Amino acid sequence: MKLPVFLLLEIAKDQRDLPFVDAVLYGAQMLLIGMLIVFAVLSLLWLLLELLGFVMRSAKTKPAVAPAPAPVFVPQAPAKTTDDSELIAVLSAAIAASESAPATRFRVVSFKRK
Amino acid sequence: MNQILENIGNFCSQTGIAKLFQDGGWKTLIMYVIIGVLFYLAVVKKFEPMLLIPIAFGMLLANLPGAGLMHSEFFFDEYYEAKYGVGDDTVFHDGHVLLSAMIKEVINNGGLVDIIYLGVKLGIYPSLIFLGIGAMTDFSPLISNPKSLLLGAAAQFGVFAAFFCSLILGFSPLQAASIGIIGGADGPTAILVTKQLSPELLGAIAIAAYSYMALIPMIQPPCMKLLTTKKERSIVMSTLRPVSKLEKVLFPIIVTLIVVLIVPSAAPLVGFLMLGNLFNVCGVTDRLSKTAQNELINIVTIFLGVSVGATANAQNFLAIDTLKIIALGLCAFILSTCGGLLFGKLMCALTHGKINPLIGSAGVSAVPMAARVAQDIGRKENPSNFLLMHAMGPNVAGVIGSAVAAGVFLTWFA
Repeated sequence: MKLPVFLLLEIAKDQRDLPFVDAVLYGAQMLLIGMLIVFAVLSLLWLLLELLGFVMRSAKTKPAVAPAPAPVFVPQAPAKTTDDSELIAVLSAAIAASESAPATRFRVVSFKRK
Repeated sequence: MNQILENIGNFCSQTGIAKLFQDGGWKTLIMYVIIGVLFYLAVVKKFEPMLLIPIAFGMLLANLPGAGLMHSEFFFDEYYEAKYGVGDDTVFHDGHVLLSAMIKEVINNGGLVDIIYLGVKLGIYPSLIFLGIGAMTDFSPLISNPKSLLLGAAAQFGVFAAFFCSLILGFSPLQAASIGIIGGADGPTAILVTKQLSPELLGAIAIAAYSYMALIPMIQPPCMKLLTTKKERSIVMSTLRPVSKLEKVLFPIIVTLIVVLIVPSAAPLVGFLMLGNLFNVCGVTDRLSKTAQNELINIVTIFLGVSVGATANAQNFLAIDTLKIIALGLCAFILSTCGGLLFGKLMCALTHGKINPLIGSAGVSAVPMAARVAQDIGRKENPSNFLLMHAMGPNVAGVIGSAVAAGVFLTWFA
């Protein structure tokens, strides 16, 4: 029936109609301690969530820096060095077939990949 | 002929109508008026109808003389003291009746609602409701702006202030704790605390908690206008950062670990709230999440509402204490709103006007009603202001805050 020992004033928890002074003192100390505990727990959560957010943000920024040099050796580079002569030959043949003209009368000078 | 008349007379004397006009029957008639008012509020005014209708109907069932669906006395020590005597060690332990003896009595002699009420008595329904609430709640605004947690903590001021006021008005510390938790604006939390600390007040406290939750759009705006300036209400807050899935998954685990390790008594509420949220965010338990936020919560709400309403019989509900509880519940809501607002003003000052203090009022955990009120008041001052997502942070923080406050009371008094 006793409350924790750290309390300044202990009162039987099922006692009704406490004397006014006891009710005020007891109520005030419980209000103070209760709010302190709630603030302590939620403040700890606040700090942990800030920490979590910080870790997540820094983890995100790292991969963002890493991809920057990547274009140096990704697909576009080999694309530039590819020999397009075979593709030009195919395109020329297709145009010749479509225009019913020999391939010597025109020349494929440029094409666009889509 | 006399025999026939005697049989008819006996039958008539056994009907509920005859019992209505016996000793104390007028109290039951007053209860019918109150039940009628609750039906009106639920059906016509749409005040939390999902809860008030089961509660009001439970009250009706409990106040039908002779129906025998609910025997509130089975859940109090006095009944067992009269039946077995205090000295019986098979029934009593440390001056209180054993739960096993109570369950045995309910199974042997209880009515349907008595059996359903065991879910409240054993603390099952509030936790299952929290599971559903967790599955429905999006904690992203809180994860995005964790400072909101402080507003959720400040808005618990009403809980402890109402506890203080209840003591002054003559309630015992156990009863004062149950009344104070109305200020948490959270029905299941209020029910869990009350059924453990002062079950005799359960009906009045549940009705006060749910009624005031519905009245938040009327209770909060005057406090908000009184405590904030036009300039503060017009503050536009910066956009919240997007939250990754990993953060959303880690959040319920971190909250459960921290809160339950510090306040173990909050485990039934916080643990299930976070489990429901994990179902929702982890992406691999969609079926469980949908069940928790639809079928499960609906079924449990019916059981909880009917059985809690049934505890409000004429004998224990029509008392001066009920009026005091209704008045103190209102104080608790107002003081919680003021606590959140004042802390919002403090944060506004500390951040040089980056936080709109109106979102502090959403720290009372009535989700999402309190956040919507903050949004509406903010928009009245500045039509281009959109505070809803900013207010959802303190709003969901209030759910955690009220569960922690409940845990504090249970640690002290249970």
